[in-house]
Formats: sequence, structure tokens, C-alpha cells
Amino acid sequence: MTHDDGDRPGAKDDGSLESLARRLQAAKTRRGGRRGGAAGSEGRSEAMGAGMRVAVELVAAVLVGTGIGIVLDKWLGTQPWLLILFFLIGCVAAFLNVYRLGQRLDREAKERRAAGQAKGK
Amino acid sequence: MAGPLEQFEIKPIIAIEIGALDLSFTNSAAFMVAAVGGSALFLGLCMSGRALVPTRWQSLAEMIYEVVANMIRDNVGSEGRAYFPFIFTLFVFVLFSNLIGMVPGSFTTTSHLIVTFALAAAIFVGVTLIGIFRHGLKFLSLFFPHGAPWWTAFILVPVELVSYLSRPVSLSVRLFANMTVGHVLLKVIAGFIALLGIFGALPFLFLIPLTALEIGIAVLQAYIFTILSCVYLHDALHLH
Repeated sequence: MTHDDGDRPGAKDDGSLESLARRLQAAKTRRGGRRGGAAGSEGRSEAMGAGMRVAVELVAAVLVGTGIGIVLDKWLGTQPWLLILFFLIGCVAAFLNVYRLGQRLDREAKERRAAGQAKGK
Repeated sequence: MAGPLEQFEIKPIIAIEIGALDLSFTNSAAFMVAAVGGSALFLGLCMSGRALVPTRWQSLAEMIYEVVANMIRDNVGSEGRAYFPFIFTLFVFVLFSNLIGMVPGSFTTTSHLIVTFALAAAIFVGVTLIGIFRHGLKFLSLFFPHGAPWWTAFILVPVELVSYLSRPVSLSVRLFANMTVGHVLLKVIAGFIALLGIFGALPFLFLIPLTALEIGIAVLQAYIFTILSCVYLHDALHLH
């Protein structure tokens, strides 16, 4: 956190709106900086959440695919071919889901960064 | 001493059996009623003043309202406003279930997969029906990316179908896993306190921030559960 004297009341304070605007701006920059500093721990818990989401996503689609395969196999009596086929489809779907989640998280992070920069300026 | 998994046991309070069906009113059902009653009471009491300048309690209730309203605006768009009551109810119910579960000695309804899956399945079926009623057969274009060559449909359609069907599973497993893991962890660490005697102070100190983290997770998971429901609703309304 940097303190330049421009944002201290008293120092160079001529009471005009211009100096008020300058002090406000400096205060805003400082707050923005502080928020950026806090993003360290916040980012960690968010990253943990993202990891958990990826893990669940990866398992869920494989489970669903395998389940569909088992049910169809029982119904049509084609053990084990549809199970194998739908297991593979489930794997592909899982990676697709993870890819989409990654894109989504990426976009969100970019938007947050852009919003943070706009606030900081 | 109670084992770490005993807290998840379902015990019937009032046994009701109709034919072969076991419809007992269990502790799980009791805590679901508590979540509904508690949230109704909380919001009712908070908003009883209805002042223009809100009191602390009223601004708490208004904060929840605004969180959900922002969530719908950002993730669904203006068409999502019609579904606000449902999304709000969902968020408050999951939030209260999670938080009531943090009260020592209580039962966490959301730590049972069947409860979260029932919620997720209801959302999934509802959202799919909304999509079908809105777009008719065009809804099926959700399963085929726009602009792909037609012969890739043999691979893409099953993959997209499985991906779509995995949504309620991932939605419910995430909430269930987070709540169960958290409660087991708390119980195991708390068990160490009794076992270690005087050195139990160490796990006790560790337990305090862990409880705070667990409360944070309870709120965060309710938020994520609701936000993903919003995302699914968006897909059904806009078809990508």
C-alpha cells in the first residue's frame, strides 16, 4: 500500500472540488489495491472449488454413460457390447464437460480481471 | 463414543407403513420441515417491519433477495425473472438445510445423496420441460452443435446426450459430497479431542477454524447449487 501525500487531508488541500476528486481517486486506487491483495486467499478457495467441480464432472458423465450401457444391455440382451460403447461415450462426454467448464471458468476469470481493472483506474 | 458415520443414520420418528411402502416420518423429514419452517419464520420475522430504511434483520433478508436476483439477471437474463420464486425458494431451502446441519447434534438432510438427487432431478426435469415447451422440436438442437457436418451426428449426439444427462448427477453429487465430507471430517477431528486427553487441545484449536470453513462451505455450496440451476435454465431458454 502506497501513501502519497496527495490523498492526505491537510496536505495541499485547497478545498476545491478538483483536489477532492484527486483524493477520492487516490483512495479508490488504494482500496482497489487492497482488494487485489485479498484476492490471494480468495483465489485459493475458488481454485479449490473449481478443482472439486472438475472432479465431480469427470466422474458423473462416466457413471451416467456406464449406467445407460448396463440398462440397455439388460433390456436388449447384448452384454457386454453396449456397456463398453456407452462407457467410452461417457468418457468422451466427461472430457467435453470438463472442457466446457474450463472455458466457463476462464471467461469468468477474464471478466473479473477486466472488472477489477476498470475499478482500479 | 459415536462413530463418524452415525450422524447420517436415518431414524424413524413416527412409523407409517402403507402396504409394503415405508413412509415413516424420519429425522431427515423432520429436519427438512425445520428448514422450511425456519426459513419461512426467518424471512417472515425479518420482513415484518417493512421499513423504508431497513433494520439489520430486514437488510439481511433483502441481501438474500438481491443475491438471488443478481444471480438470475447475470446467468439467465431478463426472461429468468418469471422463475425467481422457484430459484429463491431453492436457494433458501438448500442454505437453511446446510446451515441447520451445522448446529451440533442436528441432522444434515443435504448429506444424503437421495435428497440432493431428488432436488437436482426435479430441476433437471423441470428445466427440460421448459425447454421443450418453449422451443418444441428445436430443443433437440441442444444435442447437436451448430455448423458441424451431418455425419458427425453419430458420435456427437450420444456424447451430448450423455453430457446432458450427467447434469443432475454432477449437481447432486457435488452438494452431497461436500456436506458429507465436511461433517465426517469434523466428527473425526472431534473424536481425537476425547482420545488424546490433555493433548486434545491441539485438535480442538484446529476444529475452530475448520467449523468456520464448514459454515463457509455450507453457504458456498448452496450458492453453487442455485447458480448451476440458473445456468441450466439459461441453456433451456436460449439453446446456447
